[in-house]
Amino acid sequence: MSVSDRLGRLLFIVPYVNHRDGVPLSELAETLGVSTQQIEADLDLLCMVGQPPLTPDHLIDLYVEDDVVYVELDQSLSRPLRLTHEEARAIVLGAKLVGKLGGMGEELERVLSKIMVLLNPVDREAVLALSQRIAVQGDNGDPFAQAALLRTAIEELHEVRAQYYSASSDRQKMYALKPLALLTHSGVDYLVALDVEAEDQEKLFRLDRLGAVLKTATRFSPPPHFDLEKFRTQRLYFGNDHMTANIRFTPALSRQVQEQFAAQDIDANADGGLQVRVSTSSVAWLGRWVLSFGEDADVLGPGECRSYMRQLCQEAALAYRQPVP
Amino acid sequence: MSAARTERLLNLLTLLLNSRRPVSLREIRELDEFSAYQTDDPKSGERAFERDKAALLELGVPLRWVAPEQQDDDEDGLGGYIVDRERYYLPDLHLEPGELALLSIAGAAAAAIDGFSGKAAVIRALAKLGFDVEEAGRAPTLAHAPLMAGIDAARVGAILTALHEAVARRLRVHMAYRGASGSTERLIDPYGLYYRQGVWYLVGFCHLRQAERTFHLGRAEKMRTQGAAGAFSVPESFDLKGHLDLRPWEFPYGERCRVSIRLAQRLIPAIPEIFGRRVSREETPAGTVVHLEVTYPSALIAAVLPYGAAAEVLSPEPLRQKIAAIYATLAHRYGAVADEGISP
Repeated sequence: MSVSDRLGRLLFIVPYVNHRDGVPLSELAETLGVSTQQIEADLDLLCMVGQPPLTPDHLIDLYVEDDVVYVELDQSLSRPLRLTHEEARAIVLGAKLVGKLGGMGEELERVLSKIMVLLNPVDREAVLALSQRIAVQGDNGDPFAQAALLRTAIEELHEVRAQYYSASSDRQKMYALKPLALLTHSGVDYLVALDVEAEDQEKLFRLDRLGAVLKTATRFSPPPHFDLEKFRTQRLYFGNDHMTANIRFTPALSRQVQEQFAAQDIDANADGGLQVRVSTSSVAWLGRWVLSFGEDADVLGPGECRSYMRQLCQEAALAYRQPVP
Repeated sequence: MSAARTERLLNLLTLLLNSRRPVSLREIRELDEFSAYQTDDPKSGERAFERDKAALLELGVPLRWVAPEQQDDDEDGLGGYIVDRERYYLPDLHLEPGELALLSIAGAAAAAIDGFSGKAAVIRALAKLGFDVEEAGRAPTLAHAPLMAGIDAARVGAILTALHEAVARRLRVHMAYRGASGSTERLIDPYGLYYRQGVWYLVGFCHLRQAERTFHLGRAEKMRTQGAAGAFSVPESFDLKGHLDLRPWEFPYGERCRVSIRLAQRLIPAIPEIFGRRVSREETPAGTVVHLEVTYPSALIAAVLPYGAAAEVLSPEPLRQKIAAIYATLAHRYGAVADEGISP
């Protein structure tokens, strides 16, 4: 724990509890991201400090009653310490990751400007410099034009109809959706929604594959246990993986493959190339991904993947034999 | 930090925050609570005080020394220390619940960066920003920027944290970098950072190559900052977003050529994903055709190959022939019969 971590927390607890006329231990722990045991240890320490010389009326006076913390004397710790540049920098960095998702970029910029005025000029210049010199894929160019409409539909619980190209089934379709959330993952923006025609199955839709979107008058009730945090994973799963495919890569791609996959999924081949196990629920998705490596990768199995590749490549080879009109 | 030192720092802060006048080090030393400063060797006690003062400053406490000539009633003529209340207290930012919700999304995204060491700072920041807000609004949104599975997250996280400081304050960095042809030591003026598809990149002036270069941070083995802040200037012509705006086939590796690709109807909604939002599009009797300016054809081949006949390169002819040959080779590899004239 750094010098600032515990001290910063202790300086926050006193004004926060006083400002709210008592705060449950559990709320303090959640707000500050530590255990209730840690909060209790913090309170024990706070009871022993104050304004020297430490006569009783110079000590911070706090107590716990029915698991609720109260402060009687705050010793001028009446408001939190201003934001440090480290704290402001972390929020600015996070805002970069959110990017323009759902049209939030401008709103975030406006809120961040409220924070910036709190910093001293040197720190403000440094945080602004960092803000201008960090970029995230997806935060450039025009955001998806209909993202604001999707945001409204999510907030107001309206169903939408949306045209979409599905890579896993390789077809375009008009979907009836109950939109639940917007998500940006690895620089790609998604809509999380329930597919009405698939018994409300939860699905992810890339915003850059969405065509026209229409908000309908139909309202819906949100699912009671929807947890957006489950998407905070290294890899987004598109359905239940039911197949493991073996992909062989030439030595030319070894470094790239080793960066992309966990070591336990990779085996070395005698020629210096690699073999990787990839889980998927979609043969089409897997086939297209392997094809992006051209002749430097091929699917060893299962058979249905190889059949898919054969058909796709054969059709393409025949199409390319035809003269261009 | 020991509990005793934390206790002493809090006592020192509270003393200075409550005092209406600067407090001299001699006065502080006389208090029983600061026995750590009362050493036989006065210099040793002074150093302990300086360390505590530095810890408070690092935390952002506006602690300053006031010289005797700046005080009206400094009878001892020693000068003293004070905490500026105006600059200590966080003012009410009048944040709306929805605004706090937005900041929370940003904070959560930063806290979840693989290997990022500023998680505690994010939590503190959000707690402070929520001080005057009764309840955060609802914003069902999540942002996450994970690293690729094969990248050492702890090492990249530590490098990234140091680079935030280096980019913000224009500190030069020294990096051991594993390139395609082996490891090299690089001295770099870090201009900017960007994230793309599970990888963080540093763009900067490389003193070894005497040119602007981009570094994949997953391939950085070690890094340290060097020298003082403001060690270099970022050229006005530097365009970080230009790096992200480029699609791989726009990397300036060759002669520019115009490529036309016919798309199947089902791929139309996916044009932004496959080709970006700046693509030129034409409706023809044979279907939708997109036109691209290409300087790195290999990357374009990688982009269209996954779609087979649904994204067919019409021209230029040499590129079309090259793609046709790849499909023929692959079709043969996957067992297509040769008598249909598609053998490699």
